[in-house]
Amino acid sequence: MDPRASALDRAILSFIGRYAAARPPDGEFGALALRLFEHQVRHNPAYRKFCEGRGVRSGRVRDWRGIPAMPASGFRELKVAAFPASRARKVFWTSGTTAAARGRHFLDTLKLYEASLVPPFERALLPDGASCRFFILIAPPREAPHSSLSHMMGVVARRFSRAAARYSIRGGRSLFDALARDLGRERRPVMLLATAFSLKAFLDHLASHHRKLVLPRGSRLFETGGFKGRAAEVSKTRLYRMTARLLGIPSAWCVSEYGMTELSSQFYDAVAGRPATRRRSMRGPAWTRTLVIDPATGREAPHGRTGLLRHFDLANRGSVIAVDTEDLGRRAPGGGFELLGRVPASERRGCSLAYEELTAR
Amino acid sequence: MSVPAAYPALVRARQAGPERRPVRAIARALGRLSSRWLDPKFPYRRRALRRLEPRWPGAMAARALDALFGELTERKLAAFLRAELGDPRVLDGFRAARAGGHVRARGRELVLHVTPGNVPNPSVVGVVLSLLAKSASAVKLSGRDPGLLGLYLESLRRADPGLAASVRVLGPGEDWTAWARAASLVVAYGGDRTLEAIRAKVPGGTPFQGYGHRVSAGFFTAPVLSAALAAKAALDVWMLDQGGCLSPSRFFVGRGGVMAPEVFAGTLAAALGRLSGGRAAGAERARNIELVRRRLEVRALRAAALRPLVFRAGRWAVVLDREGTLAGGEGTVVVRPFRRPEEALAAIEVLRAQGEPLQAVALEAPGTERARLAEALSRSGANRICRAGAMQNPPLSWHHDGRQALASWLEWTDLER
Repeated sequence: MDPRASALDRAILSFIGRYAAARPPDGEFGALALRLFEHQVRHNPAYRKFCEGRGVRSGRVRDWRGIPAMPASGFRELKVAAFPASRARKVFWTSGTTAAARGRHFLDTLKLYEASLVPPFERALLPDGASCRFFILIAPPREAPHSSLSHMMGVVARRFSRAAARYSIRGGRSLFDALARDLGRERRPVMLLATAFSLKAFLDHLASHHRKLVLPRGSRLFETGGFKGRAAEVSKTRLYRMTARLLGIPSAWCVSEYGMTELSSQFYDAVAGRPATRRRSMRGPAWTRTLVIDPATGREAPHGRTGLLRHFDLANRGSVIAVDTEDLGRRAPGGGFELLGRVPASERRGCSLAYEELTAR
Repeated sequence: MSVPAAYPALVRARQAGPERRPVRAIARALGRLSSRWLDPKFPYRRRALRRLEPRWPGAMAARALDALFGELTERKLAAFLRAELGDPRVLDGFRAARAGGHVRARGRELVLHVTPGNVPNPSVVGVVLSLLAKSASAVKLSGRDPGLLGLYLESLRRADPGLAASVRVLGPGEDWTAWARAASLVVAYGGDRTLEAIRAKVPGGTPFQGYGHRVSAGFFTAPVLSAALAAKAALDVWMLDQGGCLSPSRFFVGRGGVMAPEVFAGTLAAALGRLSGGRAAGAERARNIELVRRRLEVRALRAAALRPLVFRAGRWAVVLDREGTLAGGEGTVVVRPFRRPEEALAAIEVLRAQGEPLQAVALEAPGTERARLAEALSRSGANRICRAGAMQNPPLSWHHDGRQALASWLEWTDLER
């Protein structure tokens, strides 16, 4: 590895170590962010061209907020890597139906990725230091080597699960009966880790078989991913209500995670076991920042106004520090941001009324 | 099969009203009403403008009403009936047929119209055609109905209650599927999924006329590019806020003339900005423009192409798409340059293969080149080729979705000697 990249990694790892549980001074974040930006402009050809196109030159950016953010679609169309992509140790792919439409995140080391994911996970899901067995409704890393979520499951399970974690999606099949049976036998707290979609399918399975489980006290839910436009969409409130009714996990023990393949860090909307006093908002670790961008001006949206989310992630050393997403959000009153979903795909035009309009009245 | 309770009364109103009158008398009554709608002082027109202007501000709504009722005058209706039927009196009784013998046409007993929510005109046109065919009409309005048809029917009730009685707008919550089962013809507008859903409710033997998703475009060869043409193109985009199937989202623009496509795109954006009076883009539209801009920026990097050109003007953005991969719409207009017209024709074929069939094309080219390109565009599925600036004024005789308008709604009887 390039010695300058190694030096940066050491600085970032030290930052993560020092601020795993505290917020750093903005100046310290900014200084490291600018150092990272300079490195990426120099070593990431796609990003350098992108910045040149924007008229932004190395050495000219004084504030981390001015670092050009690569659109998430850039990960689909370009090789966004600050090292020769042939030297990637790991490539994570975004979800999608065709290879052409999928984004790739190249990593030349997993050190930063793994160091970045552990402390926020621990803080959000295991603040009480509980010893939980993990039941995972996500494909295991061996079966989905290009999924960053599966990789993350592997890391947290190895690190925190009381006994060997159980994966209940195998060979593309959901093993709901076995999962229900195994969960029913547990006498100590468990952690169920699922995407919103797989969780809903499991809960529907329980309901259709007239089964209800009461998981041991202190059991908790890690839920991620939303439905991304799938038909069986339900609100998070309803999903958590179903979780409480069918699994016995109260909503105060349900934590939602928001992550992107294009980032190395994750965001959480609650701390397990701590009742939410206000509307849930997503918070990232100290080495991330999120801006809500007003698309009409390209600048930060006024407080409370909906805009497009732009994330800065120091752990993204191998790609780009700043990513422009197609996710909608707004700044939350107490810090963090409220996630308001994905920009809907453009409505098809023509002399048309939407199916929903037809059936609405 | 249960028939809606209001069905018999509607059919009786048809028998007592349009069925007893000659088609010429119906056309006269409807044409006179249209003339009143063209009068800026007509109270119903003023109320309609108040209703439509929040969605189509400025002069947009007034222009839409002028385009609509200008095609529904007595003279235009008579010409339309002649164009569609030869002798319009086939709707009144047997008439001599050109091929010998006699022929008679009848409208179906009851037409169910499922109207679109994005543009105001088709609902009124649908009802007018049904009345000319002497059919009763039940209308299922879109959840986003702009409110024009309600006012039109009110004005018709005052002007000619006998005709108005054979049209019924279904109330909110009224089961339209019962009407779909009872109707003798169903006419519906919608996207593929909507049309499928409606068709599924229509019995197999009932004819169904679905008007589906299509896209419109401009096609201008290099020698004709000018600021005046850009202004006409802007008018086509701006009308109905780019919301209809006749609203162009793409312009294929020739390179090599006096005006470069890049300059044309900038001129088009400026003209759009002027038409919108500097109104800023709303949140949804601003997001859409921003996402299109980003995609273009990234694609330009991949193709090592020149910097992407995005011209913003108020609530509009015109983007120069050298690769021809962007769709446009929702406040964005794509200008796709070509060196030879065949490049643009090939791009249109690709669109068709991707499920984006053509509706109208504003075609401008010098002399015989226009006729040659029209031939090619017809082969590519375009069902209307018009002049720039006229896209939103389709004549009533336009073969919408490539079909005859009224003739395809009728049943015919041939009487042989």
